[in-house]
Amino acid sequence: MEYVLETNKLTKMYKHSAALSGLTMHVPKGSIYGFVGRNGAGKTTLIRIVCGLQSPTSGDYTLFGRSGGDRAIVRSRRRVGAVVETPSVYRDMTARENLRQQYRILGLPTFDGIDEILRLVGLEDTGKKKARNFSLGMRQRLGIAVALCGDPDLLLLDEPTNGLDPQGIVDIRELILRLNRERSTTVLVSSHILDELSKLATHYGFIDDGRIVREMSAEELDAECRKCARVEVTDAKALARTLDSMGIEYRILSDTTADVFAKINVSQLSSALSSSGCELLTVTERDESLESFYISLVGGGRHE
Amino acid sequence: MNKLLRAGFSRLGRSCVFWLLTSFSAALAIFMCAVCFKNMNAHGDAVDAGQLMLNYSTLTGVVTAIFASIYIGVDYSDGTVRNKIASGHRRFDIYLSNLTVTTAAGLFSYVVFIITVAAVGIPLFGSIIMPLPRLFALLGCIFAAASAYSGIFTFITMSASSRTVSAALSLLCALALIMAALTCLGVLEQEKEILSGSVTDGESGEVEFVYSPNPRYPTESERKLYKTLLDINPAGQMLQLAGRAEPDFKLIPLCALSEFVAFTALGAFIFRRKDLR
Repeated sequence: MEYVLETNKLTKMYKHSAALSGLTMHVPKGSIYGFVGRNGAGKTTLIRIVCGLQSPTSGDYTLFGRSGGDRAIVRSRRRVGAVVETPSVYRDMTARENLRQQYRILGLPTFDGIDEILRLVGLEDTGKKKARNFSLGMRQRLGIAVALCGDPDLLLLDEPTNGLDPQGIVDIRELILRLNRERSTTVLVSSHILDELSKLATHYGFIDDGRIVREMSAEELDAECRKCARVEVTDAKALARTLDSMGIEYRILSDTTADVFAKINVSQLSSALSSSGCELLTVTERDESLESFYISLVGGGRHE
Repeated sequence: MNKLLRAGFSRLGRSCVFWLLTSFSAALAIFMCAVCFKNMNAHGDAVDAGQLMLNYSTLTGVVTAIFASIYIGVDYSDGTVRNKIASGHRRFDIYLSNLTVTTAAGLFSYVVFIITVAAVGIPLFGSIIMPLPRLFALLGCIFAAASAYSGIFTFITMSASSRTVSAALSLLCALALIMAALTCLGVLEQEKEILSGSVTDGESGEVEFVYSPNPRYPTESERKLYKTLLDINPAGQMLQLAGRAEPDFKLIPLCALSEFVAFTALGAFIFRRKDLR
């Protein structure tokens, strides 16, 4: 798999506290990478480091194949658009002026494409209104519009739905999906709201205390969070044979337990098992939500 | 770097604070000409438009402090400095482009002052009395000292991260430099002897003034120290160039440009290592 961003044991210390503690992650090309963690877990610090706003204390990262310590990393950064924490826009300029300014910073020869970006983020009708008079959602969209100047291959969005109303959240989500689908832009979205990310992410990285506790694809996460019945029996092998014969999907967890991904008729299963010399001990219905999965990953003791 | 300069000058053209300060310099020139014209008519004072052109130099520090802290400070307060870094510009280039814009804005403001004095003053007071080579040498030194100010205030603003903090620090620094320069000038302008009394001859009625050594007159080493402090202080350089003391035409630009280079090197070094939010 090709990765646009990889980090290797990245550490960032602020005086005596560690914001990142050996963080290793992989963002596949073309993915929407949901970067999930509680407040203060280190999400923004990682994005700042990748953007070049801060230097890591130790460890390394690779952006489009170039190491963060390489002087040529600035060339890789030209392929990146980012919104870090708050949207970076000139408040005394209009949306169009902000984009023109970013075009100049990028050294783009013409202002072609500004109308398209404004349309894409839904700010084409803001006219002469200065960014200081924009609502939070509009500013957030303008920040994304600025990040989109130059048609970046990687978009880093730090909590892009923070403070938005429900409609604003939907708009941002659709925008990210459209960028990924239509422009093949790889997007790294950080959030502490897993439910929100689950509607768009193709891959996930779970961060806690400055380190990645797990990376997985959306399919793997779906499998982890599927509705199932946890079955306890005296012989898991006999259970497997029985479920195979019944054409039911399952996953063996131990010699005596398995998760069964179907609605089962308990008396039917029990009699089928007893004919194989196996006893059905317990059946517990499980419905692990994304949140509970996340809590089980990172532990639930220290939520802010 | 060219991209940043293009973006920087484009923003400068839209900057309210830049046009406000430029208008201030033009308005001040007109005001000074009007006051001098009134005095000329009332008391017959001779006014040299060339000398008037030098007077704005004493305010350059405060003007540059205000401009740099607001213009560059916006990049921090609005977070737009992140766009420059995240889009692959080197920090050194970002620093230099801000320094260039700040220096250009300060010099432009001064040029507007000179043009306004020339446009208003020469018709009112007649041609420039001061020899033109001397005037150009003084203006050249003023531009060098103004660049030193730009170097100092760009350094403060790029190191501070907060627009409020950098504005306060820059203004305090500008005022402190002026106070320090005035103090040095005050010491250097002390008379060697001061009038301590007078004796009147009872018969002829002649008055004889008695002078005694001035206890505040600095020793030779103190004079050297205060003169050096005055020469290295941009506000001191400006006061000398405005006519408060005879300037050293070699030393002043040398000091000013050395400060410009030193503060730029230090500022760029700090900015390069700085963690931005």
